[in-house]
Amino acid sequence: MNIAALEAQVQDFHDRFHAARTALATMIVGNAAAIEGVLTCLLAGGHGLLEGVPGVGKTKLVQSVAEVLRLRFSRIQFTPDLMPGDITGTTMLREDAAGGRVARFEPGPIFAHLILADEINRATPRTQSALLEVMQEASVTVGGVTHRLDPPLCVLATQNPIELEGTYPLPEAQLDRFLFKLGMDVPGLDEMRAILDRTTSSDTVQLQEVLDRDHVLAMRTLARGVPVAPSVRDYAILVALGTQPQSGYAPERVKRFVRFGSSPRGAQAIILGAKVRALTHGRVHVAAEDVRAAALPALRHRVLLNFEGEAERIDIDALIGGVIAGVPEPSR
Amino acid sequence: MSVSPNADALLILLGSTASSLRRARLRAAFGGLLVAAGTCVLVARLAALAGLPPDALDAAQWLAAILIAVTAAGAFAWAGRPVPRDEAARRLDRHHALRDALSSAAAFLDRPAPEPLERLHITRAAGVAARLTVPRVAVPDRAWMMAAAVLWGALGLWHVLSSATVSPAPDLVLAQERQTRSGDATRASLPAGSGQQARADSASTEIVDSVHRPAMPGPSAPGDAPVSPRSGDAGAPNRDGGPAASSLPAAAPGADGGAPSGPSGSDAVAAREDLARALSALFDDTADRPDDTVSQNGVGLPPSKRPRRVESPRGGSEAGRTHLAVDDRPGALQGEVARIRQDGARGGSLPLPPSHGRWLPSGATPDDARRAMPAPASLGAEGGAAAPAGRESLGEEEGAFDPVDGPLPTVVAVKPTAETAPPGRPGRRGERRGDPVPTTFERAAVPLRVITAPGPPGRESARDAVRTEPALTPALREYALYVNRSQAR
Repeated sequence: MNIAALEAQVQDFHDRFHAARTALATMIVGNAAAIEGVLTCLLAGGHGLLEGVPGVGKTKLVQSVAEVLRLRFSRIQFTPDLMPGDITGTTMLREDAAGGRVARFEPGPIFAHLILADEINRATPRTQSALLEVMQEASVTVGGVTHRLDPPLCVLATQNPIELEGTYPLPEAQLDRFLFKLGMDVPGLDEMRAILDRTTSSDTVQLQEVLDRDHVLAMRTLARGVPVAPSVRDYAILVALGTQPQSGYAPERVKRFVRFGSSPRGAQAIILGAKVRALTHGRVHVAAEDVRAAALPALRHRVLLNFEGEAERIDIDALIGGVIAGVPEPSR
Repeated sequence: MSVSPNADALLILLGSTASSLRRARLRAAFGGLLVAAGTCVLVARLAALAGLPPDALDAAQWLAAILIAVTAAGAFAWAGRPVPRDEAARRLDRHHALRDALSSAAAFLDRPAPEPLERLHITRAAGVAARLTVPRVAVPDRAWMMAAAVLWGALGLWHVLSSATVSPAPDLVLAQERQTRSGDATRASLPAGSGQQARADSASTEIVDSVHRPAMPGPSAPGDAPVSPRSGDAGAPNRDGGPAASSLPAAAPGADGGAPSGPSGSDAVAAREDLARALSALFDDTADRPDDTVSQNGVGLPPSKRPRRVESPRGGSEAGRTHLAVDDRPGALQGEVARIRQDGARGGSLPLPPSHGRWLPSGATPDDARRAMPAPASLGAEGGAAAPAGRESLGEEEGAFDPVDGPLPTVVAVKPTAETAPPGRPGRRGERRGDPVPTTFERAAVPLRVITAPGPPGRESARDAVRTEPALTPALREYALYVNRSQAR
């Protein structure tokens, strides 16, 4: 591929990303970081966990993304009585043309491009674990048969941080499979005005479809190919290692308050997110600022506080911010 | 390797930047060396001011030399290292806010087969490089050089300001001239035919004699006359009950050929010289001070460099301090020195309690000082101190005061810093109000000028200066230390 074609691809990535973001902003008021984070998760080939109080637009955001990107969308409302088969699908006896009975796999709602796992922490761990294979291998195994899921696959889960009664906190293995954990903020005064104007009038917002599945796949491929200089890669590694209390790179605060730090998936998430961010800024190389921007959403759900940290109500975002600030940049 | 038509521009830019970085490193190394040397000089001067002993100063100088050598070697070795291309690129990135563009491109250039996106980035970076000029990447070395300039400027200023306090050690001729002039001036100022003038004559004779006469083996030297005509008063015990003070230096060349417990001949000569200097200066209230003495005591220096202001009880009071008032009559002083030496010869411990001194409270006046002095009778009885030289010619009893002259003034003895003229005090010749005035002992013995210690003001530094000053004779050193300790109590 010649340089000019690559330049065109990069420019196309940049333009389409911003077009999608602009389209989403017509539906979702505020929360620009969450919008950009969701798109980054999708284009990096990862999954996202949206956390916010009820009514801030988590579900609406995911629905809008599916609409803007023209992806096959599926919504799963997680409840305590939800079973794994309700997600993955199950084998059923069907009558064939000859009148005989055959066992046939009926795909569940997981077979889609964009899956909204709404209130994921309300399902039992057994049901939650049904997503493990889907999120990691993009496949489902039912009755000894593995079924591949059609790419692109992106699970966007939501959870409410306030209501804890009747919920099942996600296990660490499940959390680790999310590329980013994104927070949805409560809107401010101006945002509330815009929300009310848009939702209480007779005018309905029409979302513009700016991407399709092929575009998304091409953009994913391009993002994966963004090169990372060794110094920037090492910078991301040091940031990830800085969250591990047992490593020699952790600051004193991490050693005191953190039980478990980031796994290697955390460093992978940083680099993948940084690559997408570099392209969205028109660059074909990852800079240290991309790493810094991607580190917080990539690490905040991978850091588990110990008892002292919980008792002290340590803010994990501030903790990770301290880690990032403590790692020398590659340009210094 | 050229992965794009414009990659050469990037390589040229990185090469130029690497050269610039090497030059900057060299400047930084030189600046670091200057800073290290300046810091060593600063520390050495501070150590000298703190009054470190000479061996510690020597060790510090060696340590500083080693530090400078190691710094120089390390700095220039660092400056001589080749600059990696990616380091130059990172510096350029930071300088131009290129967000790791050039450093990433340099890294991709080193790969054997760059990927398509890597080649794209190299091409982009080369295009950026073609528009860039090599900056003077010299922020660190500028900082170092600036630090070195500030440090050395401060050191130079300090040196200029403090050099006024340094004067050459007095030589023998200067001392002779000063002492002779001092004696003449004193004699001229005294009433003709009085006992004081006679004492001054005697003291001046001794001074000139001691200066011109080489140090000979004491006991057999014909010039080893007793300092005091009353030195033969061997029966006068001192306060400690020991042998008479006059039996030490003065009685040694006497009829018995030298007391077994007395000092050697050279010690006797030294003691006589010390006492002669002290005697001459005790009458030297109106004598003109030499210029170097003036400079030693701070005259002509900026106020911040002058010695701490300490007023004499003679001229007024000193707020918040108490001084030891010492009977500065020749006999008393001689007896004090002799008694200290005698006590030291017996293995006694210094300091001795002041036998001829009294503590004066702050705010004491000259009259208070006179009243505080021991009575004439007790002075002779307890100290065994010989009466002043002129008194015997007047036929007075031991320890009696001259009824004509009245009590001699009481002065503050050795102090670590010079006195200063108090406000309202009638100025002496060449003095202005507030100017430092040398103490009696500083005027008495020329070598005592070194009591102006190089360290910070305080008794410790003064004591160290007294201990280490080679120009001081043992007797004066003992006496100075004794008074210093007494004042410290």
